[in-house]
Amino acid sequence: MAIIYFCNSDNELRNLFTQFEEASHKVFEGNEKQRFKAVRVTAKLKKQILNRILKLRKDTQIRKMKLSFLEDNVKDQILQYKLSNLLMPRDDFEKFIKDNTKIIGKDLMKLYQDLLKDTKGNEYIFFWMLSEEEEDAIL
Amino acid sequence: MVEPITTAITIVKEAAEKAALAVRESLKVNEIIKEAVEMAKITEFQKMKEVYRNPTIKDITNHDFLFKSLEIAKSIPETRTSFLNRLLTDSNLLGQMGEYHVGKFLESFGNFTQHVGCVTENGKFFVDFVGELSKDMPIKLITLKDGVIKTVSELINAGESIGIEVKNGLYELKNNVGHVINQGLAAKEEAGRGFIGISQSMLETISETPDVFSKFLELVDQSEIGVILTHPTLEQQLTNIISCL
Repeated sequence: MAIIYFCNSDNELRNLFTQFEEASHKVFEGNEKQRFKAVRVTAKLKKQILNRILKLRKDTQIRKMKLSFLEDNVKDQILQYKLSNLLMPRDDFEKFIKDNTKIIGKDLMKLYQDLLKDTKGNEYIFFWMLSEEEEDAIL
Repeated sequence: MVEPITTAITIVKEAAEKAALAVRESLKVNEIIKEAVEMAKITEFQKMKEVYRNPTIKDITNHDFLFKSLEIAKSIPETRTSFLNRLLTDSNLLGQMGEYHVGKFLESFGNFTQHVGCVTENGKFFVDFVGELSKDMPIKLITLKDGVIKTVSELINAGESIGIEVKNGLYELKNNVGHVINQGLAAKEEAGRGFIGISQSMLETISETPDVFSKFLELVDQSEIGVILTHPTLEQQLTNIISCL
């Protein structure tokens, strides 16, 4: 499995990610019917996110890291979770990694710093985990 | 000379209105069908409550990675986005989620042992479930006939032993067919009858695109193993898991 990452300013992807984030919280709230509906929404949104990434592929440099690279560089499981699916404005991401400098390995920190160098002030940074099948389709 | 044009316009306008009405009606019908499908899925999902929502300590230990991840997502809301994507993506989580559901389903039909080592001429395999049935078990066998997927209902009699290899995604069925067949053959060698257990979501995709899976299903047939429906849709599995702890 791999994590893809890139910088961008596409609003559609940002909106889809925000909706996915909201739905993933709703999955844990309300009664069973509401949770089931929220799960179905997340599954639909995930497909839409992947389709959007496919469209952005033409003009965006999509890079990937192996999941094992993240796991080797970050021993804290909670931080691993946060760093594998994330969309954050450039400055927020810079602050986020600064706050966690002590628990992020050198190799990963270098990757983040290189990415920050390539990211403009109005852009966000995006990380998304892919299955093998999705990786074949996108990369 | 003006009249015929006006008449023509009136006729076209009436036809357009009729067409628009037909489209609106058809959209309404589509909405009703969608709503009915949604309701049917919710009803089906609620029936599963008794079977899938009460994990034992053994279930939690056997599916440690899955239940630990769930605990993290429950207690730390910032990890939920990642957890949901992982549940839909990560082969380890998907595998444990599938095995958990199949294990709960099989509980009512006999005593099954998980991950039974089996050495065959093709190598060593760990069969997901091996056991002897204590009562008759109804199965839905999935076959390919003349390019169309068919499900056949059968009964496996009490006293028979079966082995099941659980799959909870289609990647291997498309890209690693030989390995899946060898796993099914190991299940057969271990128990007498060997099956590949798939989910309702997988069955739906296979039925929509049988050509992609024809090689797999032909090899299943030649190897005298079977493909059976053993667990619910991925969305139903996810909701069951989230409702577990």
